[in-house]
Amino acid sequence: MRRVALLVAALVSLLVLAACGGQSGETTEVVKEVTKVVTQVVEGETVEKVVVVTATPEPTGPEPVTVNINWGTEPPTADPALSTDTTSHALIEEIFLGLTDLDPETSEAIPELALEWSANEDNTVWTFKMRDNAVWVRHVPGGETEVVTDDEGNPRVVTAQDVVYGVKRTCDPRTGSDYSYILYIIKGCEELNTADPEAENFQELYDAVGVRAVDDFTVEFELNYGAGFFPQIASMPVTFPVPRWVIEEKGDRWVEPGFIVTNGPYVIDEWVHGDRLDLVRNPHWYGWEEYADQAGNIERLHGVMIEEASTSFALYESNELDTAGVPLEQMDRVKTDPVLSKELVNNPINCTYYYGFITKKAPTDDVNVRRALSMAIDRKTLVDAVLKGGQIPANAFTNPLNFGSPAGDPEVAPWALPEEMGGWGYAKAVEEAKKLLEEAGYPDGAGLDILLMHNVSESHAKIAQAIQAMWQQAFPQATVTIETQEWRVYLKTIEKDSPLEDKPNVYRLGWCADYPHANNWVHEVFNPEEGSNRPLLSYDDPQVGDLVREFAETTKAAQTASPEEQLALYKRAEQLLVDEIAAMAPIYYYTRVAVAKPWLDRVWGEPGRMYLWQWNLDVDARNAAMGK
Amino acid sequence: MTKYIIRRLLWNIPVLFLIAATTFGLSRALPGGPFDFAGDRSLPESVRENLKRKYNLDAPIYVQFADYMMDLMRGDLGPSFRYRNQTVNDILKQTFPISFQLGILSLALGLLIGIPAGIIAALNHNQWLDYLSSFVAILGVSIPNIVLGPFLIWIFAVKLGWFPAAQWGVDYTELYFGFIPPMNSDFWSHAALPTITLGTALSASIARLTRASLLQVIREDYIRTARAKGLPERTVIIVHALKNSLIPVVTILGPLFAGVVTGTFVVEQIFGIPGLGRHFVQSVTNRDYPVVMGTALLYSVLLVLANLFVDIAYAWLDPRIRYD
Repeated sequence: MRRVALLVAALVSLLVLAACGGQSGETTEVVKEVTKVVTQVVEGETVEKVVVVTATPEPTGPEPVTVNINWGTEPPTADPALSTDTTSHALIEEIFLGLTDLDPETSEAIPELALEWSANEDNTVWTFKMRDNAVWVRHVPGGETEVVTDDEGNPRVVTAQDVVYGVKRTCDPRTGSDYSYILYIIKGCEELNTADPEAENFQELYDAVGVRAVDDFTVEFELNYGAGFFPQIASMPVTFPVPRWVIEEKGDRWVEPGFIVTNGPYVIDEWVHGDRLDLVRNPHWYGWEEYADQAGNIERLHGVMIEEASTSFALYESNELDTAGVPLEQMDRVKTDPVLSKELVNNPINCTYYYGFITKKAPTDDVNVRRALSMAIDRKTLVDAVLKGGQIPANAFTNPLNFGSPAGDPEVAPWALPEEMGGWGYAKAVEEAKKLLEEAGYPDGAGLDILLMHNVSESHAKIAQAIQAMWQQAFPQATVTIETQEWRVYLKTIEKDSPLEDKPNVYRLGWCADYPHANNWVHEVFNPEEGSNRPLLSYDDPQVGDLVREFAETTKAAQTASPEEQLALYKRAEQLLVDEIAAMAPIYYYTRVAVAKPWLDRVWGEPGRMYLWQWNLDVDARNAAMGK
Repeated sequence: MTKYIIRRLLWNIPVLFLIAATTFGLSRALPGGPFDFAGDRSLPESVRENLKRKYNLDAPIYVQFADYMMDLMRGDLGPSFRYRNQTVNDILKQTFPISFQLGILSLALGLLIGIPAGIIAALNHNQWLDYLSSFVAILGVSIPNIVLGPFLIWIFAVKLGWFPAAQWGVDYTELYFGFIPPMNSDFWSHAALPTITLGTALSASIARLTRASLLQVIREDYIRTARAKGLPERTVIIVHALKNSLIPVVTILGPLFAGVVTGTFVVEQIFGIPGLGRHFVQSVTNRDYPVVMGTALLYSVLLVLANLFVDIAYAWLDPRIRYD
């Protein structure tokens, strides 16, 4: 009897719960219709409340125009200060705004929050004039997007103070921003970032960071040195304005759906970790009206997170994705398939694949050996026969998509370029390489023992084996050994401070631009003092010490030089880096190999920049193709 | 029996503590820390310091371990270093149920095919049915998931369009009690291909084991006695032989269960299933220490529990085994 009673009680409570659920559902309906402004004052502290401003319910008309993409993986974060990877970056670019954006074609800085900007004479002080019509919004998952209001009930506009907070938050050591060091260019940022938060003068350091709001819509940066590329740095998420009041309330979880407050063209509608992340249009974004002529028609993005490239491609082939990457093993089929070959897109992206030489470890401590090895890499054959993705043979480290890159210029390492690009061609390069090696005391490679290392990966192995074969053929008596290590172990091994005896002679790495300027390449990667300097370049090197000094001075001088002077200086720096010092061997410039359905007209920006608001999707064409 | 179970459970506490300590030490002994690099660029020392301070990695290792164990007592597994807006508790809560569903379905399929196939093979010892079953089983063992999975996707999803190519039919927001999926057509259609991929591989080894074990038991004296008593062959096999022959199968079932329900990296990867398997592998690559600890501890707890059940099952399968 008692059991029955319990059961009845349980049933009743379940019904009550269900009824409550139904009721609360109805109340939200009501709230949607009544536009209400609420401000709360709790114990003297003002607490902003999300308020419905334009809550006119969307007419339940046709399905929203939805594009289906694959994010590729779970974005590790949506916090602009913490993002370091292209997936997070792609998400952040859609939901947040920066002072500037990058032009998808030229990579030049274009207006976003800032409408115009100017610098003082020596480029050390930059002033950005901001628009006054960008608002903070909060999206109720599965519901409406609401404008956030302040205490008086006015819409909360993105201001210069928000930018100042965003920049200082990145520099603040308590944030733990991986990329904070990029902002060390701003006065006081490094001092704050390296300070102990417990220190007495911490607040002083915080206040001293060289970014300030001149008025509500003017922000001024003071830099440590003149930098013409600063507007491009202002396009990076580490400088983005972020909502202080949400971050202070929610901590690290502020980016979770429901909490997150954003200002970009799209908002997160649903984020099921590891599974899918869907965006919907932010109707309050100024651009829909202001840039109506450029705007596309995507109302919703459905994004899955499939890591396996072949599965992603299978989804594309069964029309479940509108655009996808092409797995390497499918390249030949896609190129020859009558339908897929028309959907194939092959465009350059801002990354360089290269081999570095450890200049302190014999036998690569000899510049002639380094040059000979670099010359004996047949870049054209590698690109055409091994990689097959339309990659471009590289003769300079800085990718051609950056300002200051001398890539393709036969005055820089002409031996790396095939004849049709104005270079020597491989036959002549190998002849020269043989001569150099003989001069170095290794005729035909006799006695030459090279250790080449890369991290475990099928594609890196293919390239390493091809290059090993090229070296063996050019120098028949040399010994070339390939070793692999797990990713993080590998990175540790080749780091500047790791023990020399663990290091190989040749290491593999790639570099992608943080901002499209040669400074981000030659200076930040190879400067003997300020760069990562994995080759261990030194001013005391008996052979190339003076050249290393010249290299360091050249890149340093370029930072404050006029644009024309910069071109000449960066060209000289590359000649030193690639040819005269031969600290590294640039191998190829990356390309993106992707497919898009004929009904999707999309922008192909750099990885990490989708420009979704400009995409167009022909729903009828898709339905027709899918037989609907 | 109850005493035995309690004793065993108590014994597991030091075992789990040892596992925790070893995993903690080993993960930190790996070269390269969680905050040394962002992608392939090494971060400046100042940035590393900030991140270490934020996550308490600058404290001496024994202090870190003590802190970790204190948090663990409260059920707090810490933040993820890689997914900084999520905690390890979040990650396990979201991914473990999905892996569990796939694991249980695959194990069920494995047993459903494996045990009957093993029995048929044993009863038709050295006849064509035995050879056929052996052939299929060896095929099942030797075709890896990484081949079978994409093959099934290609045939049944891309070419025939019978099943979806990837993903799991439900996500963690739709589970009852955070664990049980709604058994709708969406769930089953998405579960079909990954379950077959994983289940057939399991069934193959289960079939081989059942066959070998049953063959051995059939030759025992007590089976001859049973037959001599004039019992029908069916009773001899099902009641007397099969029960005993299952002991080796049950023995591997314990670890198999713990391994399968905590996620299978390859199958989850191929089918884009948001399960736990990915975190087992990637947390090590990312040096995401709290996730390494969380996944390892979850696996250990399941493993010791599964082994306990196995031991209890022995007593039921073979009355000669007693635990008093």
